[in-house]
Amino acid sequence: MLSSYFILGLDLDVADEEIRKRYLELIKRYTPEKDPNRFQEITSAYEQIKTPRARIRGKLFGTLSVSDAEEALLSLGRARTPVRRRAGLKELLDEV
Amino acid sequence: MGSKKKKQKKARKKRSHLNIKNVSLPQLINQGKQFLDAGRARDAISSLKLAIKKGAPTDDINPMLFRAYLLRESQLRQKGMNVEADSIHCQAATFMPTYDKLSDLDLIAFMKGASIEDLISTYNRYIGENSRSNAVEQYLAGQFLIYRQWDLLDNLDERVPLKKDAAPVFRAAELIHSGDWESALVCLKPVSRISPFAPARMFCLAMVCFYNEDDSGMQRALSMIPEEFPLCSVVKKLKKNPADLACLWEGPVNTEKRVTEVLEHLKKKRFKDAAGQLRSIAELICPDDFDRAIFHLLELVWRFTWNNTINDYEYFRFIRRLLPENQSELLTAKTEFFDFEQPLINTGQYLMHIDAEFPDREHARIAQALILLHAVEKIHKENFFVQSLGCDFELHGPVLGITSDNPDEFIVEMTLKAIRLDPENRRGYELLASLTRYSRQTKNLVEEGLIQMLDYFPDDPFPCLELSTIYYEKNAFRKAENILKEAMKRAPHDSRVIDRHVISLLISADNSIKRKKLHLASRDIEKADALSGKATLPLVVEKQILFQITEHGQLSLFDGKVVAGAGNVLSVIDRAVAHLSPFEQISTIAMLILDATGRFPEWDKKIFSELDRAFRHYAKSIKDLPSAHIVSLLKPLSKKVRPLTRSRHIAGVILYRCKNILKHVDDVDIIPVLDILVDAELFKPALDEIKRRIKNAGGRVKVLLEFYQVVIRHLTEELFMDLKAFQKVKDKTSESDLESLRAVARRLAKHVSGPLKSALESFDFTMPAPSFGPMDDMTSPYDLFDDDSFMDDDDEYDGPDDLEDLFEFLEALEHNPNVFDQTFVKSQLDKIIKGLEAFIDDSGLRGTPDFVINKIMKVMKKKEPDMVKGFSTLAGLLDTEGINALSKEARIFLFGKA
Repeated sequence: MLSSYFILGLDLDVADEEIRKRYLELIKRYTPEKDPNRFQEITSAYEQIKTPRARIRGKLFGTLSVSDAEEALLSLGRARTPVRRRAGLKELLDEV
Repeated sequence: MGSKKKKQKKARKKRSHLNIKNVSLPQLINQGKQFLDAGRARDAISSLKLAIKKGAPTDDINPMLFRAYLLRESQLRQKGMNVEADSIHCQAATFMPTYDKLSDLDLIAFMKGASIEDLISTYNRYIGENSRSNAVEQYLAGQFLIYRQWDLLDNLDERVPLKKDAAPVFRAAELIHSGDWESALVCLKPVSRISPFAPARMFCLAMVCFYNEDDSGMQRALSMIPEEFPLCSVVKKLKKNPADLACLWEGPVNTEKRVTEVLEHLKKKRFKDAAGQLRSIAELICPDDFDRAIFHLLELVWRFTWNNTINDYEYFRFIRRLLPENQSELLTAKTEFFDFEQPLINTGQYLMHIDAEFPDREHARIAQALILLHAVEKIHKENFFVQSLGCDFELHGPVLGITSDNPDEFIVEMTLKAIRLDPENRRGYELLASLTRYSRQTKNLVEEGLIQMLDYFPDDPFPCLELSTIYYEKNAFRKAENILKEAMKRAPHDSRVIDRHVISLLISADNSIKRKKLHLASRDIEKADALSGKATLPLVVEKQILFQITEHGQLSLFDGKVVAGAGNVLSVIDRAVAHLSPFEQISTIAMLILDATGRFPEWDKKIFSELDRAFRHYAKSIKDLPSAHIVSLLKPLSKKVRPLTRSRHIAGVILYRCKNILKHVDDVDIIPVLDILVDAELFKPALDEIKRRIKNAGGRVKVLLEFYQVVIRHLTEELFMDLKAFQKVKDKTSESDLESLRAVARRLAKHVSGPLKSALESFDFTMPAPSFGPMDDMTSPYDLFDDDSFMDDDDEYDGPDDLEDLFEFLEALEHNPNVFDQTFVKSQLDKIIKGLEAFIDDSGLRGTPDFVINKIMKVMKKKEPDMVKGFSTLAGLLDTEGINALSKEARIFLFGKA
């Protein structure tokens, strides 16, 4: 359930319109021809959170529908892809 | 313990010091070198200093001591001990060799701890005695890039080219510090490959590749940066894994690695570590909603209780460690609901905590409805015996919506409550319509829900169709017809509606025939004929024939129709089926025979023999039918036509009259046919057909036939729990056919019960010999028939009532049926049934194969004849409603059959 939000790059409390807008944006970027796997991932994530009823169902029974809990945990870790952030030289040196 | 270790360490140190003292000078110097090479700066310093004390020439020792001090300095700086490092740097300076003897690498090492002004003056002095060093100049270039003290460039010796190349670097350095690596790279374009600033350009290129997600390009650029470049620490980290530099990322980094660690901690029962790691993952993935993230993570962790990675107790302790009290109570209730060990209690408990999961009232209502529907679906699908489900009705009754005392109504009431909470959920109505309903009250509840659906789904014919079914069940034919008219209004072209309308007209005609109101029957059949489509045509023709056979001339007085009578049955059939295809002809006559034998047993035998003749006549064309059509002929009739026929299983009618029909079925269609035969309990024809085919069959079909054979032999009680026979078939099945075999096992599981059912469902035939609940100590299931297994006089039955008293009551009732008041009889019957069901539960007989219960009954007949007589009296007193409410096992006890 949470991974659906992460895959779409959304906050957890967004409204229906925002979810749909983001979904349309993403499927334009990752078309089935360009990246079929990503497209499928985005579509199934959208299906799980597109309506309040779907979100409630997902929140209630999402855990039960998981076939492999280990894989679900790992994919939760993968779902939120970190974005490369601009850092200057000073920040880099401070980090090391 | 700590002080003991300290003492040991001190002693070790003293010993090594004594060892150093005892070695010769060349050995000491050699040892110092070795310590230096091994990175043991302090030991190297000790050895080398001792060597000086012992008279070693300082010219040889000082460069080594200088390096040893510089090494120690860098070690201290790495630890962040800069004050100590500065002091060591000063000490290193005292051992610094003269410039002509100083290597450029030593110089760089010395310069690392110096200010940029000192760097410049040192290097100027260095090149006074030596030639220029590329490595030192690259180091200097890096320092200028970091500190941007460009004015100090003028202090550099004129021979150093840094000043010449510095112009493009001024601007680039500003851009590098602001993170604009692309523009910096453009600025550094004029810098040549041999320039001391060339590594800076490579670093910019690496960063540009990083932001373009070209990681291999980044690695190529990084590999061209020399180790002496001041940014080498950053370069090393980037080379190893860019994810290690958190400042380069937004969002969670390395969560996958952390998750793997959590799993590892859980597997090794390190719950404290697992909890800490889970907390950090939750913070990383969802910094704005930590509580929700941790709750979700813990829900997923719960799944590890399924494979016993952690047990329930450990899990509940784990969630209490991580969640606030109300959330841990919620999660406990939720996981118990999913475990569903006490369906009603678990559902009620979860519903009571739902507000903590869904603070929004509207969402909470929808969630409650979904939970109730999930529970009902599970109870319904998994055949939970509702009568034996415990529940604290005072506590959970209101949230579950249960108001009745009658267990039959529990799940219907729960579904109705779900519908009231969320009337727009279509699934609720569908589930309501599919639930078993025997009593009038239950039917009324279902009707109430479907009437509500009429308003919420104004264009949907579904509630009309389902309501019509209920009205037929309640014999409210007029209401059924009216609601079907409404269905026609809602979806006039929907074939389901038209077919149902045809069926309703035929039901009406059927009832009119029964009541001898043939003019009404004739009218309904005509209407049905006008409406019927391909699917319902054989049904209509069948009723037309039935009507004409039943009609003995009453109507001919009015309209001159042909009178059928027994003599001309064949001609009636011929005329009626003339326009049908051979497949429809056979199907129509088979339905007619099924219908007539069930509902008109009083008919003249001659009529039945005429019907048989007609069937045999038309069945001649069976050999010309495609195999798929023969399978369709044998298939049970649709559930929708149930009110029209005695039974849906038509295969028996056909097989009895056309024994060779199965020969015309192709090998590819035989498995569906076997499913039909097993469903209709036609075990002998199924076994005969398997035996006939198995000789010539091969590959997948042969294996499947053998599997069916073993299952059917269990069903016919030829075999008992012979799991080896199943395993034998499984073993010889090829990998590619194993999935087909597994599917067959799952399908056939519904026909058996107990451990065999579990074995077929799980497709595991290696389980130990079956046990029988509380009677586990028996060595064989036949020990069930031992006298000790039953309640003797001295055995105490602690069920809801004393069975013995109740059987005495039954005996009295049998001798004098009118002595008791009917209400009293009914209440006593309820008690006896509850007692019987409790007896089945307590003795572990629930789920036991049918024939085992039958054998118990046989033994009881000998040993407890009175009790068996009581069962027989009880069976006679039950009406259809009561029989339907019994569990399968209770039905076998009372009637010998489920």
